[in-house]
Amino acid sequence: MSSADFLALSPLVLAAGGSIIVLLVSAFAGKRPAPSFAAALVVLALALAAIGLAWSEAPRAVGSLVKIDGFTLFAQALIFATAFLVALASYRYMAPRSGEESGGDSGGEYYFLLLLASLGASILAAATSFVTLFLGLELLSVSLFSLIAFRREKTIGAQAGFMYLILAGASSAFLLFGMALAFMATGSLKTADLAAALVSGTPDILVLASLGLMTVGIGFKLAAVPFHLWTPEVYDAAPTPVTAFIATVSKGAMAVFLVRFFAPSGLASAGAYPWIFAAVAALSMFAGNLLALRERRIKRILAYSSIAHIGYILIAIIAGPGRAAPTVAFYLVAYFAASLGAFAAISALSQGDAEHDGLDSYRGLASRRPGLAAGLALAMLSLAGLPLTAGFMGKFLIFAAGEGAFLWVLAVLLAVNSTISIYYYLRVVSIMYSPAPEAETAAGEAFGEAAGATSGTPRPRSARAFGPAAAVVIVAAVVVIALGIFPGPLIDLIRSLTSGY
Amino acid sequence: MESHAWIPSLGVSFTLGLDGLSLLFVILTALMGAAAVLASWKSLGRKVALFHAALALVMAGIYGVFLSVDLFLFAFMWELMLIPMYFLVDVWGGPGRHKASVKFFLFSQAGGILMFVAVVALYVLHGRATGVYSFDYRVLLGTAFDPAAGMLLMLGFFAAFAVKLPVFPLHAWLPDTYTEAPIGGSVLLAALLSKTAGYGMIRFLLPLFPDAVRAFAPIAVWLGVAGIVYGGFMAFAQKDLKRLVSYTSVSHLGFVLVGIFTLTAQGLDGAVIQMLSHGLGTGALFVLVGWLEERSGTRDLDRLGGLWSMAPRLGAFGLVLTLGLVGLPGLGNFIGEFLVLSGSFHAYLAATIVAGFGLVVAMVYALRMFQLSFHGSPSGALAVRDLDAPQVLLLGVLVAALVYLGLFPQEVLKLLAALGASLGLTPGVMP
Repeated sequence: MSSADFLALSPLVLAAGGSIIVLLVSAFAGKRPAPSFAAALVVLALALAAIGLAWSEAPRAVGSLVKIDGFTLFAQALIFATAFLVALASYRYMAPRSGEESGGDSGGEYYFLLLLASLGASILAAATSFVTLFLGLELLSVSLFSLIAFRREKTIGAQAGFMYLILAGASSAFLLFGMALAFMATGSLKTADLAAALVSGTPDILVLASLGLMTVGIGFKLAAVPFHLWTPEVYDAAPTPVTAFIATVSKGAMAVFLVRFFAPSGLASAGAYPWIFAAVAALSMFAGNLLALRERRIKRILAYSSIAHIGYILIAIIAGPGRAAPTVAFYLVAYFAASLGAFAAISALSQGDAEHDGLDSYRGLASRRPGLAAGLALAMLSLAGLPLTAGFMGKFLIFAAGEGAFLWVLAVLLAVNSTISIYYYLRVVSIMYSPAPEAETAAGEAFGEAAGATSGTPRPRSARAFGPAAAVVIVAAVVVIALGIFPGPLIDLIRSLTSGY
Repeated sequence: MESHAWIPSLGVSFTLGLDGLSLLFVILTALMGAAAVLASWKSLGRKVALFHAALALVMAGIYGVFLSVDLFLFAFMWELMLIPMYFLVDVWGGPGRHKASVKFFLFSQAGGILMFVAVVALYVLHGRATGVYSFDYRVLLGTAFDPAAGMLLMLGFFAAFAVKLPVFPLHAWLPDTYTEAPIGGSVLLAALLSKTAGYGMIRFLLPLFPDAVRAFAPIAVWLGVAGIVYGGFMAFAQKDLKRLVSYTSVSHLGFVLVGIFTLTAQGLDGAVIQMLSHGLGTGALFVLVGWLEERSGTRDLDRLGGLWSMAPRLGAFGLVLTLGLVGLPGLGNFIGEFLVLSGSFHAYLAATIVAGFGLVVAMVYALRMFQLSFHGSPSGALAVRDLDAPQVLLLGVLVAALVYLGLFPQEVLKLLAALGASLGLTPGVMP
């Protein structure tokens, strides 16, 4: 490897080395999580800065394993920035709560795992070979099992972690078997060779089987229908910042890989493959939005909403070269910002007292915590794709990409779905802005928030004060509004970065 | 004309333009917006600042719709009106506000998003054909389609406008929403939001898809007539004063649809005048009904009665506005309805006759409404203060505008004159 290769890989190298340092810090820091938290933030900031270094070498293929180009770097920057914000939102949320046994350790490993998961996602976004695909995927998955089950005092988290472990293991098995078949058929582990074999004339049955098996593995990570069953359980049970990470980084990295696999190869316009993904897109949109309608818990609503959003993104992916990459890149930014805003607001509400999950505990939130309520409302409106938010521009780009590729049916289905989705997003907003139930003070006791507000007992200071999670809400809100009004600069930037796709 | 680049790489610009048609509606918006603010002066109770913020945002969206020359901007503004309007109904509305606001939003959003799909499709098709990817109205004008595509795109736009106007089978959200909205909200809904639809049809539907519109016109005219008659009968059957006024809107806006789709200059002029006078008249009527409810605590026609003797100023305005509903000569509605019917007479004789019958129904419901609320003997429990000076002033201005429209329609028509010609509409008879 030359020095140029190292420069191109510097963000990954920094994240990998930094994660070890964070682990060491957490081992020596005693019971305080603060040092590891700070170390993780520094490492993520350095990795983000290193993107600039890598940019000077882009585009550069390092062996046949990874290719560092504008799109990859954009995705990596997005991943590290998101991980940075997730870490911020975690700090108070993951702090030991009153009455819970912390088990005698600092919880600093949490940040180590978060770094490792971001590293996996960044490798995934750069992968051009099945080796790196699998490496990235497993790094991501293995860190996520532990993150999901991180709060050991809660059995539900352990359950969900175990569920994710088994399903991710099974899907990895499918993926591996698909890779093996691909290697058998093409004699190569490069993703581009498989794509070429698929596009050329009548592909071998082995090649087809390989794609089918890999679709299962990829679909699981994306949580696209019919591989979505884990989503609501895991979203609900995982610590809220971890849920935010799964919803954004974990899915986004796979979406980026899919674009890089699909777009340059012309696979999007070859034979029946787009139809498979079109069907998955349509099913994901409908299943996600319809199942969300009846949910009463906000994290499960967001889980189903994320399934629907993956459906929208898939439309852009099959829209083909020239459209897929810029649209997905912009949409991911918009979706990441809105999701982070929503989950950070939930984290900020849930720190220090009981988990704020049931929709009923959000009644009248606008009077008690106007700032957080506004942030959450904005995130919801952006996810719903309403104007003045980034979500509207993202939806517009997907329409433009889909219709540009003459995917009329999918465009109309997207229109129908976006109408359905409005219902449950607005319900959350409407509940927050309706008056708090004065008569239901007794019922409100169940939720620390409502009880504290109505009976006048002061809540823990940490829950009330402005914390890092609230800062994340503000950052997300600023991004959402800025992109909703002036998307032009970002669109131009993305277009110049993704010119090869 | 004001133009700035917005998302240049996608051909989106921030372009606003003002011509005769826009000017009329901008004036209406300014007038009724002020009326909405003044009318809700005392009635809010809570979160006053938030209410006015939402109201101002709706107004911004409405101005945007009337001024946009860029189709992306138009669709953007179109959806922008919805969110704050939803909040106006959902937070400050009556007891059934949650259901009403969601119904309103889902209907409008479904229509709006279909229009958005059509806008993007128009952009893509035009770009493919000419290589120029732009949302600019002036660029897209005159795009040629094959008939099927043109019809589908036209229907996409029509879906949005049909929900907002509303056109007969898509009006289901209207009575609930108008009724549950707070005073300011129902004024905006009735006076302005429905006008955005009529404006959109005249500004975008007719010029962009002339062939498809021609093919679709008979259906649209009959839908309009159905709305006129249906709205009239439903209004007659209502016991709730506000709901009654809501259904009269369905009826009156039916005339707008008929007028536009007669595709004659007269019909078009009539539709515009009808929209302006509906905005003024029905907007004022919603203000009046809202104040009445504040004072008496009820909108039930069975419990009202004898208001004239208690509150003569209220009664006088009630009388004028009721006569406006009926279409009394001298008020704007008369001119509008007359022009619409004379425009449709040649091409759609049967439809014209049925629509004329709708005017008789209007007479019946309007007089019933007036009789039950203002005449008769006051029921014991009712005590109603009369209007105070600022309130008289507000209604006075609106009524004066309505009278002006009835007496000097020529001034308005002059502003519009250029428009009919530019749309290629022959006066009188369609070829």
